[in-house]
Amino acid sequence: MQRGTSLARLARFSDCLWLLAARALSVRYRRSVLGFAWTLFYPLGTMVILSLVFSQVFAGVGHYAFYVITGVLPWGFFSLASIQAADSLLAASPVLRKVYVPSVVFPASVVTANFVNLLLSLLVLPLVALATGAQALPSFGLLALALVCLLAFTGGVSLLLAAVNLFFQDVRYFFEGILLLWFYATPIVYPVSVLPEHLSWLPAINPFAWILLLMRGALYGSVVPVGAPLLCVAFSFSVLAIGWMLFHRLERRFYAWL
Amino acid sequence: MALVATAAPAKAGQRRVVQVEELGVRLRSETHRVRSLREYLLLGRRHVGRVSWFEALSGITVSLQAGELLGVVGDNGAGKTTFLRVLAGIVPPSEGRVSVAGAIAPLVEMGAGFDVELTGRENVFLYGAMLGLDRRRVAGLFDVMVDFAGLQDSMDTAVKNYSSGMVARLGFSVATAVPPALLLVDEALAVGDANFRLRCSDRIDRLREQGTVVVLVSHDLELVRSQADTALWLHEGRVGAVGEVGAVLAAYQAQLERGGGEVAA
Repeated sequence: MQRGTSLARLARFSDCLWLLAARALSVRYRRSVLGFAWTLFYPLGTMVILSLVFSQVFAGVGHYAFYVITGVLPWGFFSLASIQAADSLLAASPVLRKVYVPSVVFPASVVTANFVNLLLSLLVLPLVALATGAQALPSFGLLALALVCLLAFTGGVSLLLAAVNLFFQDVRYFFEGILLLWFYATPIVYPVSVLPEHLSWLPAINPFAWILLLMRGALYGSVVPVGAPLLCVAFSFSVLAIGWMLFHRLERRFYAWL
Repeated sequence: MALVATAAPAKAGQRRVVQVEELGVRLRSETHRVRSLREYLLLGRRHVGRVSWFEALSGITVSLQAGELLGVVGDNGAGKTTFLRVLAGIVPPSEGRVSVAGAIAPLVEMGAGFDVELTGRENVFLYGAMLGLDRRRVAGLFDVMVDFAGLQDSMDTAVKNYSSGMVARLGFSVATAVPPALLLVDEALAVGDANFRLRCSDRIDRLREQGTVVVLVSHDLELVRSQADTALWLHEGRVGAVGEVGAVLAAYQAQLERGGGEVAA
């Protein structure tokens, strides 16, 4: 199976990756009248509802609606991409049993499609900022760094899930449960300041909270602790490297389980 | 163990393209399925160990020269398709060594790699990309591929509306547009009409002149007799006979007449 290194193989099949990603997006956009608008429906809807419910509770948070959407968009990308990636190998099994394609192409195309969707979704942020009166001058360098970390972290988690879910097909459901807990353990819809004293360590051990810290630093103008960018880069790429290596170590065993 | 791409020596017609040594493939049988983490955690590791495996192939040794056509025959479940998938790089060998000189070894079988929801055009590009061809290459060859398949008027139709013959034509056409080092054909041509089969065998002849090795799996023994240079009879995952076509087919037919007994050593 080893025709060149795994990276070289992925490069040779990059067109395949893009076509699969483009297909996933075009199916998503083509199959409904509203198309792309639907993918904004969830984050915007969440934002509106939460603002109505919580803007009094979290009155201390300036521009609460903007705070929420800067958290919900990256979280939506992470959770959707990783869940879809978990299923990606099984979904591709008719192809993987018949054509020689590096299997990494399938989870990678899922993450790519969702990432493109996230980038498009970010374009509504200036509108939300205008509507809520939040600052609309993002720091683009920090935003790019946050997005790169988010992509690497999501990619690593997606590769792990895709590989493991082939052997144990309920891993996906375990992970959905974990995601639910993870969502509430992460300061997405609430500010860190509402955490009680005995839980204040929670965001510090939560990789997604660190990525959000960068994201909000870039978009929302909150203070980013010195060292946070470096820390984010370090753990995001570690997760990616671990996912990549585990995926390729297990790859030889995939066929029997497809 | 690994499928290694080796450098191809210069002289066509004599160079070895495919080398299979003592190939063995173990596959999971579907009976004991422990596939959930919940069961794994509840029942423990020893139950997962109960997943049973069978030898889909064992002790296969074959060597093929550029331009050679190997016909593979055998009963259903004898390992013919698994053998092709190993050569295509889809199934990793559990034992032995497989080496194929050259990067592209497309496997043509029914409906290979097609996404039935997409149009013929989209599938040409997707399948081309899955064969490792880049976009421009596929775009440049698009008209040739479509003409050969005779599907000029069906490119904007979803493949789910194609007949099985149309799918086979398009698959074969895309897979052979760029001369591959190794072409693997699994009964795919059986559904094509007579005219298309004629053009296929023309194209196969031309590819072989350019050095392509062809491995053809077929239940049509007369087709194998007329096309193949050598034949391989797979019997229950092992080599029943290999070598000169007439002798291999005779051995296979003798076994068929005995009603599927043990192979004489």
